[in-house]
Amino acid sequence: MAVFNLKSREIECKIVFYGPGRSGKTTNLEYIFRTYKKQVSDQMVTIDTEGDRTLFFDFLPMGLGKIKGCDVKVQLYTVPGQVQYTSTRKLVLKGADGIVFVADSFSIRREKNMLSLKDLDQNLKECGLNIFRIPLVLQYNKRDIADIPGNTIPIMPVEEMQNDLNRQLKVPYFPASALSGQGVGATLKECLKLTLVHLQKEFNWAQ
Amino acid sequence: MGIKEQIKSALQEAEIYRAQGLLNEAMLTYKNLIELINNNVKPENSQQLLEGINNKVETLKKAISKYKESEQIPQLSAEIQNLIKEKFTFSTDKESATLEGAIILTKFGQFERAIKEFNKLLNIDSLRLVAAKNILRCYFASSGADNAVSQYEEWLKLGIFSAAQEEKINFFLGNLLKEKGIGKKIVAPEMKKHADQQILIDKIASDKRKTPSESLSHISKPDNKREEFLDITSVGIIMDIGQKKESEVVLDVAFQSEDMVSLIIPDREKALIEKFKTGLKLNNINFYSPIAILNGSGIVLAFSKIDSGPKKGNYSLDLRMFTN
Ligand SMILES: Nc1nc2c(ncn2[C@@H]2O[C@H](COP(=O)(O)OP(=O)(O)O)[C@@H](O)[C@H]2O)c(=O)[nH]1
Ligand SMILES: [Mg+2]
Repeated sequence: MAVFNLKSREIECKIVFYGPGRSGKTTNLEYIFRTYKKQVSDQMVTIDTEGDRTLFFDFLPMGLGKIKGCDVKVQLYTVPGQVQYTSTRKLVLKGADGIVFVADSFSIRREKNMLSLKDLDQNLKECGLNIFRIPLVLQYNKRDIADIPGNTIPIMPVEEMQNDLNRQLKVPYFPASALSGQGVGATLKECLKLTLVHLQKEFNWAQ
Repeated sequence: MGIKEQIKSALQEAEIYRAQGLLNEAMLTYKNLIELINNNVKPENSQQLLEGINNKVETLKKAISKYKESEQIPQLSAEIQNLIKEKFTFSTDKESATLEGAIILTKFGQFERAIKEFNKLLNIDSLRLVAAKNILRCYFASSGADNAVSQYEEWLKLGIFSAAQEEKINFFLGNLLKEKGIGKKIVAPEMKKHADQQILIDKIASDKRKTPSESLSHISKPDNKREEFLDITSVGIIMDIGQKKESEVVLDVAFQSEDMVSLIIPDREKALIEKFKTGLKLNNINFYSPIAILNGSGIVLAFSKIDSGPKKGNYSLDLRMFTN
């Protein structure tokens, strides 16, 4: 639920990183926090359990500066991926303006990716949102594993992930490594772009 | 791949899964590896290897059960609690924002702080009852039934509630205890003087800022039985759209008090808005709560256009819920 202040020409929107547990959502935010220092407006807040699993959410506020005469602020959130945290996921998802779905490229996590996308669809519905309409990008994370010389860990080819997750959605997708940062910026930028274009239709915020 | 390479790569794979916190996947990989070894390596050559793997499996088991233990929700710092309140409440009206903030804290398991916030709300006439019920609920969820009961007894002594409210709180607490299978008896509130009650009824009737639940409390359920309702986050109204087709419109709950929910209907939902009027019975509704979806029906208690504030132009709907 973006907030647009007509007087001060300021827009604040919310982007949620969604996906199965351990797919790299928190790692994405950590990389963004380290790399886009200038745009990061405050500390990153991480609420995790002892075993460094996200308990409730991570939160990272950013200021993108002036875009088309408007001061653009973005709040990034991650959700806890573990299945039992449905209600928290729903709370965090509420009011999202854009979504980055972080999928795990490990073949062993194939089903978990699909279940999590289904869960996203369901939870969006319950928030009165539609997965086909909300600004959404997919990220196929952990691609660096495939590049390790002599790697034998089963990694899904991008085409297979496209087929599993993006056949109907047909949204932009990015192979990435949140660990090295490759593809992270591109993922975020595309999601921001889609979100701001979408909000333009709603608020007509750009001059 | 020869058997040696297969073993080596399976060991690597399991180790990476473990390092990434994919503990069940690591476990599965070790289990498959043990089978592979048993089927392909002569026992006299595999003993040491299997011992090593079993050690890893044991360590993994410990790590998995430690995660399960650490699933207890910690009490967060006041700063983070404030952030949660700030980021996850949407009310603009100050009093409902305070209530929403306290409720959101309970949803994030921050019961101690929530109890503090609800206690502040006991000073506000229109929110006293909701706050009291939530305080009891918090005690149940955190420190246990005994504390809830002693809080209730203290309230009776202090006499801060009206007779009708005491009655409701008593009933609410009784239900909570029953639900949890606790056979504890609680003292009933003393009957206050009749005159006292009449004043209160007059007061409720004249109070313009009462909560919807109280303003509508004269519409009782047909069977007069008040069940304890789950927290409903959204309501899906299923409508017949002809040709045996159905469509579900999901609406967010803005406010809930027991079996009554207030919903905001965006003005774009023309089909719904045309249909609604006070007293209308809706026969097919899904009630979404964080832990379950309930199907049931509802009666429209109030329906009106919002003509001020940020939701201006939309419609507000009060619904009494009945589950199947
Ligand atoms: N190799 C590799 N590991 C990653 C990558 N992204 C995340 N990880 C690891 O995966 C594990 C889970 O990451 P985390 O960000 O906590 O996942 P979340 O549950 O989605 O927030 C951690 O051990 C990360 O170091 C990546 O791109 N490549
Ligand atoms: Mg995380």
